[in-house]
Amino acid sequence: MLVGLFALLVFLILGEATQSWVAIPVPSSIIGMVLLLIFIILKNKIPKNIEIAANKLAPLLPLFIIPISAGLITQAEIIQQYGLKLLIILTISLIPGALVTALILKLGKR
Amino acid sequence: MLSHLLQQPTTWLTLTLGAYLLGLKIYQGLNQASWLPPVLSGFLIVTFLLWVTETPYSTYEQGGQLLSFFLGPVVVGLAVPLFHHFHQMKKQALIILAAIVLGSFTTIAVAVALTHYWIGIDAITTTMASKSVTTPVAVAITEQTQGIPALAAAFVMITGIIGAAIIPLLLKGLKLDSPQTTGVALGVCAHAVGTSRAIELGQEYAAYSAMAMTLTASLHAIVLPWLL
Repeated sequence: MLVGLFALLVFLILGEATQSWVAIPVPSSIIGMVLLLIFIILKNKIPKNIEIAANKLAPLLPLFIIPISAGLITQAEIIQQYGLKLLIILTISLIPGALVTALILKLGKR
Repeated sequence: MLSHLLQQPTTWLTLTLGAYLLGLKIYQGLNQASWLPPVLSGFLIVTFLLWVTETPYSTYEQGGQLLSFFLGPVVVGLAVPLFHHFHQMKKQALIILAAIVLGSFTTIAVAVALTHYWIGIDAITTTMASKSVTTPVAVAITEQTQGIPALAAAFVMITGIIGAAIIPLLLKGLKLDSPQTTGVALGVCAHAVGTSRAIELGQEYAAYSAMAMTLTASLHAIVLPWLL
C-alpha cells in the first residue's frame, strides 16, 4: 500500500515538474496520470503495488471531496442569486448529452 | 474551551471523518439510495456545523486540506482503470470514443451557452464547463482555469444525482436503452454517481459507465484548459 502510494506521489511530482517545464495548462495530477498510463503501457502490466494503492484510495474519494464541497459556504451569494437557474441549466443540459451519446452508439452498431 | 477546539485542524479533520462515516451509515441504511450519496450527506453535515459554530472556511480548511491532499494521488491512480478499459474496448474503440467526445461536448456546450446567456458571470461559466467530470478532476480543472472549485464540486454532485435519476428513464422511454448506450451515457454525463447507478443496473452497464467516466475525465482535463 505505502509503496504504491509513494509511486503515485512520485508520478504526481513528475506531473508537476512537467507542467512547470512545458508550461501547459493541463492540471498536474492529470499529467501525472498520463505519465503513469504511459509507464503501464510500456510495461504492458500494472505494477501490483500501484494497483493496490489506487484501488484502496478510490473508494475513499467521497471523504476526500467533502472539504472542497464545504467551500460552497463561501459562495452563498451565488447560490442565493442563481441557485434555481443553475439547477435548471444542470438538468436541461443532461438531456441532449445523453441522447447524442446513445444515438451515436446505436447508429454505430449497425 | 469550545472556541479553542473549534480553531484546531484536528477537530475539523475528525468532524469531517465523522460526518463521512455517518453519511455512509445513512447511505447503507437507505439501501444505497443514489440521491443521497455519503459525499452529499457528509457535505451537508459539515456545512451545517460550520454554519452553527460560525467557523470561517479558512479555519476549517486547515484541517480539511489534509483530506483534499489525497485528490492528487487519486487522480494519478485513475491510470489503473483506464488501462483496464483500453484493453476491454479495443474492438469498438472508435465508435465509443466518438460517442464520448460528441456526447460530452454536447452537454457541456449546452450548459456553458445557457450559463453565459442567462447568468453571464465568467467565473460561473468557466466552472460550468467541468460539471460532467468526476469531482477530483473537475476541481483540478477549475483550479487551472480560474473557476470556483467549491462551485465545481457542487455542480458535479448535482449533475451526478440528477443524471443518475433521469438518464436511464429517458433512454428507456425512447427505446434507446442497452447496457452499452445507457452505461456510456451515464458515465459521460453523470460520472461516478452515474456509474454507481450503472452498477445497480448490471455488470455490463457498470463496465461501460466506468470506462466512459474515466475517458471523459481525462479527455476534458486535457482539452478544456486550452479552450477556456
